[in-house]
Formats: sequence, C-alpha cells, structure tokens
Amino acid sequence: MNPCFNRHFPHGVWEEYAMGALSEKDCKPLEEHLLICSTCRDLLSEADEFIQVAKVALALPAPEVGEGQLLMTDLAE
Amino acid sequence: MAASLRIQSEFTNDQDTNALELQSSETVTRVVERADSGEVDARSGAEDWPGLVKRIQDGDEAGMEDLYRLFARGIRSHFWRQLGLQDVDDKVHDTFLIVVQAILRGDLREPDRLMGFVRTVVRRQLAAHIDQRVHGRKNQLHLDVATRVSDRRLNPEQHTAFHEKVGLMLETLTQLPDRDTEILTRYYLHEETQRHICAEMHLTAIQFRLLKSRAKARFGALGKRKLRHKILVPPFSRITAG
Repeated sequence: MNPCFNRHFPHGVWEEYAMGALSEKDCKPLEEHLLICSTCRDLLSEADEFIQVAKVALALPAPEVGEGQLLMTDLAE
Repeated sequence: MAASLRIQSEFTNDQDTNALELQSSETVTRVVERADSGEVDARSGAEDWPGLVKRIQDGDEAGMEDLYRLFARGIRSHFWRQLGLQDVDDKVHDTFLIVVQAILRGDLREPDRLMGFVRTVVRRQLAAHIDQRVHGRKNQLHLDVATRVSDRRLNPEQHTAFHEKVGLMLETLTQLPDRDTEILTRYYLHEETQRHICAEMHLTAIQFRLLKSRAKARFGALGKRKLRHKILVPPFSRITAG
C-alpha cells in the first residue's frame, strides 16, 4: 500500500481497530497509515474515547430520564 | 549458505558498524533536536520512500529530518496509546535511531516498504518494553493482574471531561429503546462480535451499523447542546447557583 495522506479510513474501521476486533493482517495497513496520518490518529483517538465512555456508562445501572447528570456528579466525586 | 556469509560479513564489519552506529546516533540526536524546534511539515517528500531512503543512505541530514517529521508524531502517538506518557520521548528517539541505522547499514531491502519497516521496529520496541515491565512487576507482592501495562493517567481536567461525557452517554442511553441499549451493551461492554450479535438478535449488518450510528449521533448532539449551554451560562453563575 502506498502512503496516502489524502485518503483516510472511515471511523467505523478505527472503532473496530480500537475494539481489537481486527485480524493482524487487517491491522497492518491501518497501523502503517497511522504512522503518517494525523487525521486518522484523531479518528482513532475519538473511537478510543467513545469506547471508554460507553464501557463505563453501560456498566452502570440504567438511569431514569434526567438522572445521567446526577450519576455523573457521583462518579466525579 | 547465504546466512553464514551474512554472519561472517557482519562479524568482519563489526568495528565499522560500531563507528557507523556511534556516528548515526549523534547525527540522529542533532536531527531530532532541529526537527523538534521547527515547524513540522509531515508532507515533504512523503510519496517517495525510495528517494527518501537513498537520501539518508547518502548521508543527507535533511533526509533524516524529513523521515523524523513524517514519522515522529505517529510513533509517539502509538507508544502513548499503548504505554501512556512515561518514557515516550526516549522510545521515539530510540525507534528513530534504529530505523536510521538500519537504513544506513542497507538492512532495508525494499525501500518501498519503509512504513512497514518502521511499524515493525515500533512493535518490537513496544513488545520489549512490555516484557521488561511485566517481568519487573513479577517481583511485586501484590501484583494486580488486571492492571494495564500502560501508565496512562488522566489529569483532573481530563478526569472531569471524561465523567461529563459518561453523564452525556447515560442521558443518551435513557433516550434509546431497550433493544438498542442491549445491542450497545453487548458490543461495547461485553465485546461480543458484530456477527454474533446480529445472529442472536436477528439483525442485518446494515441495521447494526445504523443503530450504532444513531446512538453516536444522539450522544454527539447532546454533547453539542450541553457545550452550547455551558458557553452561554457564565461559569460564576453556575458556581453561585450551587
């Protein structure tokens, strides 16, 4: 694969990468591309963060409507 | 036969190699300092790997600078993601040095594969670091097996921002149908594969992707709304209100 600065992998691909759902073979071109592409590094960073946030939120008991803010305060403390 | 010739050649050239490595180490340090102090333009000479490799082999320091500018951020980002902040600058420097020395020795047989070569060096550096840390931790009495090798910590500001996002996610979840929440839970929390979830919940791949996109869009929209509200409401009024 030639280096490419102007074509980027879609967000969904980075999410799968971040989730560790891709094979070694599939990771290879992605990791090579990451070395030179800041746009895709940002996409991966967003995916990493979304996954972390989702993991924490989904692990909590389901809040009633409007309770998210209260739970957030509890968490921050 | 070829391997033994190569070993012999490496043995006889040992002194030359040491001199080369010492020289390239000093050059690399100089190049890194210069590149770090200037504006980074990661696109210069980007498309021509063989040309870049040739320039470095010819001893062109500007070529080394281009190599560093192209890869340093990506290498740093990879180490940071995997290891956290500790020792990242040293690791980036070490990696760059290994790559430059390999190029100077002619070990990079296919210059077109420069990116793949850099990736391999990064992965080896990473593996060595993790191995070292895991062995170091074996001596600790209370080894927490769940502790990640990464040292990444959130500063107080990041910690607050993260929990604000968790709050937004919780609010987003209250707006989703139970079935959607179940799908997200299976995927993100339990890390079930898309194929497994689709099979068990009778979803097509398109439906699965649409559902995830919808949840993300709601999360994003809610975040933007909250951000707008924060900007509109002066910070002092929030403090006094509390």
